[in-house]
Amino acid sequence: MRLGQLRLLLTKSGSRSLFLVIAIASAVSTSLIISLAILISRIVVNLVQGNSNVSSEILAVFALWIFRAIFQSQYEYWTTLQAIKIKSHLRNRTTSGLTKIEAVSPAVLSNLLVKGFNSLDIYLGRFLPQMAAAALTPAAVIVAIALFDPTSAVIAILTLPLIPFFGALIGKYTADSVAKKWATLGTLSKYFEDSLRGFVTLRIFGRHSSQTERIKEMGDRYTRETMKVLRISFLSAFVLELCATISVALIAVAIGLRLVNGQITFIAGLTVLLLAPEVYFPLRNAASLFHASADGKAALDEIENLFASEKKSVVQLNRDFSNFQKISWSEWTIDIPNVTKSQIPGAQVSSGEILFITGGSGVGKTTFAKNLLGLTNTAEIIIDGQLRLTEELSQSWQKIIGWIPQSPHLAPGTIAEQFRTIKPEISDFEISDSLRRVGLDLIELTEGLETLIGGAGEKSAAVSGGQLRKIAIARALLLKPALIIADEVSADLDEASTRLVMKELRRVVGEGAALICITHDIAMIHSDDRVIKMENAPLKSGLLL
Amino acid sequence: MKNLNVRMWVAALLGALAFIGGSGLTISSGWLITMASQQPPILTLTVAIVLVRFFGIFRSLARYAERILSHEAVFKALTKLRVLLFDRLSASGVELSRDLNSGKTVKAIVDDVERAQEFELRITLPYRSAILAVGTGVFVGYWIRKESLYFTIPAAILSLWIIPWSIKRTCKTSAREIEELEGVYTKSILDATDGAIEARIYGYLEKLLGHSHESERGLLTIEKRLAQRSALTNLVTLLIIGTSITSALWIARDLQSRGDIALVGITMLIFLPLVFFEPITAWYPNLFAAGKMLVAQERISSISNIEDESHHFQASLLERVKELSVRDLQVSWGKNFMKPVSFTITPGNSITLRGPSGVGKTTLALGLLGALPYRGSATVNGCEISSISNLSQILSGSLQQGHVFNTSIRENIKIADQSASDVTLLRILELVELSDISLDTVVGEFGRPLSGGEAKRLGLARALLSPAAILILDEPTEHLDLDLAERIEKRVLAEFSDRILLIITHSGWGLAGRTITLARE
Repeated sequence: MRLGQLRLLLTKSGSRSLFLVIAIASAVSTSLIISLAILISRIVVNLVQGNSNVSSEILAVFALWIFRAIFQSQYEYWTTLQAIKIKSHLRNRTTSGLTKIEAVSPAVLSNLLVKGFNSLDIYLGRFLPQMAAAALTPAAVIVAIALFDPTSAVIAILTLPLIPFFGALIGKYTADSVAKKWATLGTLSKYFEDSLRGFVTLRIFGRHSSQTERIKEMGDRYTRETMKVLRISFLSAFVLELCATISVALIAVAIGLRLVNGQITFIAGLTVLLLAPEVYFPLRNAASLFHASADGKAALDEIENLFASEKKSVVQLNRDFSNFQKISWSEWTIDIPNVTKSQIPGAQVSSGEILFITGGSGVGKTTFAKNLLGLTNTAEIIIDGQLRLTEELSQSWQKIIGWIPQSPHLAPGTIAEQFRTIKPEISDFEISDSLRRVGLDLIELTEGLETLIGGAGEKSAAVSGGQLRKIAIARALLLKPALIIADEVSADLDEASTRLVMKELRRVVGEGAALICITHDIAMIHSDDRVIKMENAPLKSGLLL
Repeated sequence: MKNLNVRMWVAALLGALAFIGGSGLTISSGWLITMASQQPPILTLTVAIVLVRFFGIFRSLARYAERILSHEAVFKALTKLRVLLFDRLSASGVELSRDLNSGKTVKAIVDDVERAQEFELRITLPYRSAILAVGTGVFVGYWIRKESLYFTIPAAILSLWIIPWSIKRTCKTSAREIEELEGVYTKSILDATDGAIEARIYGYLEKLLGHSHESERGLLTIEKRLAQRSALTNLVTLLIIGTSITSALWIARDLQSRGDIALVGITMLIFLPLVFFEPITAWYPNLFAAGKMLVAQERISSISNIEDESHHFQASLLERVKELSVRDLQVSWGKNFMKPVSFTITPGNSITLRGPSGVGKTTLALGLLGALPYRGSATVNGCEISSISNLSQILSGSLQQGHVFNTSIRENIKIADQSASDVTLLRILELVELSDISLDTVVGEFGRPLSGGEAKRLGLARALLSPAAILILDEPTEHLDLDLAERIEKRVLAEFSDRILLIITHSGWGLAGRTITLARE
């Protein structure tokens, strides 16, 4: 992420002043450092020269330190707070736009939102301020040194560039290997994770004890490889440190020698000596935070990509579909290279009709269902023989649809709330009646309608998968939809339950609804039902060669 | 572990030496310049110059050695820790294998192990270095002037023990709260993406996202509080440093006015507190971030302290399997749902276990496979399953959701039988119609993604490769294309007619022998 983009981000999250404050604070810190060095040198020189009348200087040092303590702790608090706020803002923004993000898997997304965003703390809260200090402090301190002793300033100017020079040189040489290091560490940890995930499988085949040896072997091998790389990157840190410390030693020795010859005053020498480390160390500190900040930078890049990939929200058109009569589509091919290529023949379904769509796993049945809902437009879906279903129409269209997905999701809350969010005036009796029709007797559940389900990803232990599905089916039928789309409606259901559910669905169709039933379970299909089959398209045949 | 601990102490010593080198550089330069101003004999000056240069190089060298030594030690410790954890899991297995089925627990353990490494490198090591370096500082101070103890001792106690203790306490509490909330947050994000379409159709999208926003606000509050406390500690630390510097100045002034101190002593005494706190200021920022590492450390040690549960007597069963007999068997995690089951079966026969969803079919399979404790009895040739040490050679199977390891198809299947030849593997793969994927194809997270049906068949192939006489197949053909399921079913029944087959299923497998229907209690 470029600096300009970062600034834009800061502006949006109300932290516009971050850069300004960092710059001012660095200036204040630098002046504090210089004033303290001058004051302390004066005290030392006075004392060494036999003048013990330095109480006011000592008090000044104390006062400056108190100010420095308050200033620095408040400044660091402020930058941390900004980092936290930016993080919170980004999270809020991402979460609100959750429905527009499709390109990223939920697991990756939640990892970014938690782990990735946490690495912003170091990047924004520590690295950026340190970078500002590295840019400002050395220059200011060199100017101060020049005022006392131009020779030392020249030494500093000549030696200071060595740090970024060596840093860049070695950085260029080690960048690849360091990246490799993180990759190997990642692999090792993945291997461990894989072993843990497959633990039960390993145990069933009695392989769990030999796996520990393999973990050890892998670990030892990676330690060796990683250390090879690390030695190089530590060497780079060594050179940087050496540059800094040797330069300070160089300045100190030069001052010492010139003091003996009387070419420099004691106070000037001492002040320069106290200031010399401040020329080199901010740069070194920034360099040491560089790796820690890499994650934060990566997270910012990812966020940028994420926001860039957000789907533009489509302006919804209002349209009344309540007179729905017929849905039809022409032959449709799904082609995801290396995953699946299959075809579904064209068909049409009118009110009061049932159509079964069958096919093996992974042929794209669920993707087709999304087309029927208007969520994607890869298939040409025609409503009432004239209107092509598009995304702009999807929300109006979905109002007349009862959608039963393959893995149903329920709203966080009680069973009763599932129905009350859709139809607030519904009575308890109506809810339990509609549940009974799909084979769920509330007696099965100790808390009845007040049983808590859904929410926060973890299926409630109180309700089984089959019971959840029945609730989802009842919910879909609640508003007497004109078209019911059911994806694998019999999954998690035993035969008796499947029969009951199908009986209810057929009854609803008898009342005039259309039903599209996607399934691989042909046991539920009657001999006089219409069935179309979604099949793997003939793969590029080897015979043609 | 002991050996590693020694290495870590050596590394800490080197780290301390690096700080001492840095302090030495400053103090000796102060000495050099003060002396130079007094027109000293040339020899003394030379000594001082050599000292300054020596400390300059010494610091970087010590730091370099410390880094290499500590990283190597920590990597080795990490491997040991992983092995130890896996061993513990193998020993205890039962309870934890349930948790391992949920990816969340696995991720947590993996993360914890990594944080344990970070803890060693970023908290323990600098702490030890700080103790050694600050301790040396106190001694040097004593050598310069014993009056320095007035500020070095209280500063050392405060900065090495009291403040870190308070930081750790604050961070740990906050980290627990933050982790908990982050867990809730992650769940709510996953839930919201999972149900976004339905939430919009059925009108609860706002409510769903509301949960995520709530956790966001909660996180902001805790993080703000943590930042506030950190700022306060920061303030106190800086005040301690300021007070020490002022005290040194005051003591030097006092001694000088009484004519009681050598001239170089003044400079060194005043320079001491300027460098005394360097190990502390380098360490504290890490400490503020230590909360999660501390919590992780605690969790890891609680896992590694799990008692070995497999100490009851076990022996291997070497004779041919004659029968599997199950009497009043109940398997459960937590509450009992299932009515006790009884059956007896001999080689050449198969049983299908059916029953409504949620009745505990999979749980029963896990119990028989030795991955869960059970009540009642399940015996092979009269030997209780839980007392057979070589159970995997006698009884094996496939899980409803078998794990696809991140390696080649070959290695994935060979888990069941290391000695199997490629010819055998291919024959098994043909049986489940997976032979169009090459044995060398890497699958799993970094390899070719497998569809649900393919993963299922891979697990089945693995079970069929096992030489065990009893095979338990949990939903082996569910979610497969019906024709394919039927073909596999026929082949399995034909080719494995000499074994005992227990098949758990919702549909199909009508050709298999007896059916046992499981019911709720």
